[in-house]
Formats: sequence, structure tokens, C-alpha cells
Amino acid sequence: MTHRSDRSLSVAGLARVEGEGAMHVRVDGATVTDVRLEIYEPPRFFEALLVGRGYTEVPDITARVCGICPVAYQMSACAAVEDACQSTVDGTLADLRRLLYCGEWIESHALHIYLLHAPDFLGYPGAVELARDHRPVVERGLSIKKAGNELLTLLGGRAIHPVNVKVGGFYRVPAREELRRLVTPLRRARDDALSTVEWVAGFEYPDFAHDHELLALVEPGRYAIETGTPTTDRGLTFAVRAFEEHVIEEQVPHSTALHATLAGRGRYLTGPTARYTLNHRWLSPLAREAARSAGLGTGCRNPFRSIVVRAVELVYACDEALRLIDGYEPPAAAAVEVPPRAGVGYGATEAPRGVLFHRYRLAADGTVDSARIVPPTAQNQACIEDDLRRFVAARLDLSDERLTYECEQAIRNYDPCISCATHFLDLHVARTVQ
Amino acid sequence: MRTVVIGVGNPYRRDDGVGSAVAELLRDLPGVEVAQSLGETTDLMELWDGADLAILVDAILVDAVRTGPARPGRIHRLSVPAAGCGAASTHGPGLGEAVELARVLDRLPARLVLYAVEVTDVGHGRGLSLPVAAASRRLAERIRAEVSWCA
Repeated sequence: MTHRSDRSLSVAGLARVEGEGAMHVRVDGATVTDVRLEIYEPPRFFEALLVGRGYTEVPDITARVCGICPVAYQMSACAAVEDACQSTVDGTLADLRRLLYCGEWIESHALHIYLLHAPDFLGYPGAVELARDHRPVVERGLSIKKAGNELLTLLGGRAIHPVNVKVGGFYRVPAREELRRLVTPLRRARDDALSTVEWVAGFEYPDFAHDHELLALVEPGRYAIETGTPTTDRGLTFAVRAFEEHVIEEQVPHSTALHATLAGRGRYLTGPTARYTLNHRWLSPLAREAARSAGLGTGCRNPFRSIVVRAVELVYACDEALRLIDGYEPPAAAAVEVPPRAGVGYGATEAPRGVLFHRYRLAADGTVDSARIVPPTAQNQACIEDDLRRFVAARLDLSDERLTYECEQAIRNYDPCISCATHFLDLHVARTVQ
Repeated sequence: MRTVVIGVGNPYRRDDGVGSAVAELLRDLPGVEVAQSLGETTDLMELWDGADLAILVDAILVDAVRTGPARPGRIHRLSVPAAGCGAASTHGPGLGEAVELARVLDRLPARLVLYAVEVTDVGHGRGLSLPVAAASRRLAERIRAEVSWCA
């Protein structure tokens, strides 16, 4: 080791990723003096762009926020707009929305587990190198992802930025036979998801635990996806419409995404581990058993083990999709009428990466007067920075190169968009030699 | 003979939309599947899986320091051989990784041709800069010809 007083680790970002990220860590002697996760995300742009548009355009516009989780944006948008119009979408149409959302969880989780996250645990720089040595494993991941894509394509019209979702329901609902054709690929995906849980349960995990407050939607009786009440593991619970009273966002100089905290409480974490901790009792028996045999208890506070939680959610999403398909009878209409109405509406759903909140104020003719979107990645920034600070402090004996690599892994624990960026980043390690 | 033409890029980032612009111009090509993609790895692999010929169109930003001054609208053609070439890795990461991953998994199309158009403006918004718009029309004609030779 060289003798150093100052160490500066930084990872700079590249374009064409959904959510561009960079990381800067500064170490002075044995103290981590600065940790900054820089994120460039577009939601502010979208919020302004939505103003003046018609309320029926909102799901199509917000779908464009993210190429990985467009359904999440559509579902939160529909929930908020329908809330403003005092309309309710329930029964089979609500089931179809949940089914569509299952498709997104399947393809998003499969992508993150196999192509973005697993290489970290097995010592590969990326998916290509992983595939070279473990081809059947990567094939399995792609096959699971494909089953999710097929669900999205059937219900959403296409796999990325679906076009079949509308306020009040869908433009077209599938025939029973169309959905039945997905049973075989989904059953295979469920088997593969069970193998995925076994596979990732065997990885070695760094000994690391955080103490963040965990926030997820909770819908008693079923694992929260497209509905639920914001709830934390420390007893806080509030209505979706009170989200902005409890979640305070503030600007920090180094990020275009706002940092979020819980009013009077501090930083909090949303996403798969929070969701699992607050909802695990409502997993299907198969998913619950998979979680148990993977060693997940009643909660998960090691962010590196989020890959196990995603694998369990993969089992659940396949299982739930099969259950919904089994009970499907086409509804009389593809959508309910949602007449415009002046008012404010709120919506929150569980995107693959965590709670996604939308709020719209509509004029009497349905024109959007104001919009607010709080995406999960923004909410988690403070927690990711805190993890990095503690993670680095405990590993100062590592070389810059190794430490930078492990920091990137620590970031990838949280967010497929940022993970996507960090897999392709140029690394610049600056060090001051004493 | 299954042929796919894939326009890669984001039409809401100005010239990065050159791939989708070319794809739009080729919508009427008989017997050819025309698709647009944001360039996500698995998406590309799905689109070209099993094709005899896949033609990709994407934008490139030229690093003037390393390769000399950019010429917006200049068209480069690369063909990716079935094995042992990392040529596409000079390109966007999604595409580079897609080619490499497909190679490892034996999912490359029989022939993969990449057209890369040098671009200049990748700011927010729709619409191509003039030289890139002109290049998109030239390239569409060139691909029409290329596909007809191969049919």
C-alpha cells in the first residue's frame, strides 16, 4: 500500500441509460469526508411537460419516463388521475392491471438479477463474461425475462412503453385463449425462478447491514404491487394522499434528483427489501417456501441480499400471474368511463425499484394543471450514500481499484437503472500521494 | 430468408433518432421486418434472433481528438462476422454488449450489418439536424438496395 492522506474515488457517467449516475467518494486519512451519488433523472422535465395536456394522455406520456418500468409509471398515473376524477377501476380490469404489472416485475427483476447484479457476486465484469462460463444460467435468465415480455406485449401492446393502457382500464382486453397461451411459458418461468432463488442463495454476501427505516405499500391479504397503503417497519402509516406531508424532498447541489426524507424521522429506504420486510407474510405459499429455504427471515437489511429478494419476488410474480390468468373471464368492457372532474388525485404503486408516487391537479375539463412524480431512485439516494459512507469506512485497506469496484456493487444493490450505468462507466481514480 | 432492419436510438434526443427515422422510411419494404429499439441488450437479441440478415442503424458521436473532426451525416458500414470480432464495441454499450452476449449464446443472426451515422446534436427534443436528416434518406435508399441484392 502506498502512504496516502487523501483518496478520491470517482466514477463518471455515460449517456443512453435510463438514469445517468456518477459516484464520488473522498477519504481524508481514515475518515470518509464526502460521498456523493450524482443522478440525472428526467422527472422534473416530465412534470412540466404534463401541464396543459389532457388527463387521458398522462399514462402514455409518463410511460416514457423509464424504459425498464414504464408500467409502474402508467399504473401510478392511472391511479392518481382516476382518484382525481373520483372513479374506481376494480374487478377484472384491476386484475388485468396487476397481471400487466407482474409482467414488468418479471422482466425487470430477471434483467437485474442475471445481467446486472449476478456478475458482481461471481467475479465477472459483466453478463458477457458470465455467459461465457455459465451459458445455461444466462439462458435461463433470458428465458424468464422473455415470459415477462410476452405478458407485457399481450396486455400492453408492446414490451417497452406499452400503448394499450388507458385511464379507466385498457383499449383492448385479451381473449381467454390469448392469455391461456402464456400459461406454459409462465409455468416454465416459475420453475426457472425457483432455480434462480436456489442459485442466488448460494452466493457469498458481504457482512453488512443498514438501519434505514423501510417504506413500502401494504395491502393486507396480498403482496403489494399496484395498490396499498404507505407503511414503514417502525409503525408509521399514512394514506397515499398524505404522501407529500410525510415525504419531504429537498434539492442537493450534486444531483438533479431530489433527496427524500420522512418528515421528523430522516432517511428511509424503499424497494424490494422494504417490500419483502413489510409484505412477506402475503407471499404465495410457493414463494414463501422459496424465501424460507433461501434463508430470508422476516426481513432483509443487507442490501447485497436484495438479489435474493428479487428472485423470491420473481417466483411470486410468476405464481400470481398464473393465478390471475386461471381466474380470468373477459370483462364486458375494456375500460370504465372516467369523466373529467376538477380536483387533485394521488396514486402510488410498487415499481420494481420501490414506491412510485404521482399527484395530478386537473381542471374541470381534465387539463393537467400540475403534476408531481416521486420516483423510487430519488427516494433511495440518501440511503445509498449512507451505505457507501459506512461501506468505504470499513474497507479503507483496499486498493482504490478494488474499493471503487466494491462501491459500484454497493450502488448496484439498489437500482437497475443506475446499475445499467455503472456497468459501462469509465473509472477515474485520483489519489494524492503524501 | 428472414431480414430485419432495426433502428436503434431515442427519437426524443434529436440526432439520436436517426435509426428510427431510417426505420420509418423503410416501413413499406416488402418481406422485411422493421423494428425500433432503444438499444437495450436483450431487446436487440430478441429482435434479431433467428434472422438471416439483420441491419442495424444507429447514431455515433465522433471523438474528434482521437479520430479527427466529425462529419455529421457521414455513414459508416460495419459487418459483424460470426466470430472473433469486437468491432461493434466501439459503439454504444447496449449494442456492443448485445453483439458479444449473442455471440456467446449463439444468437447472432447469420449476417449482422451495422450502419452508423455520425451525428452532431443529441440534445432534448425531436427532429434531426439537416446533414443527419439528409443522411437518413440516403441510408434508407442504400438499405433498400442492399436488401434487394440479398433477397
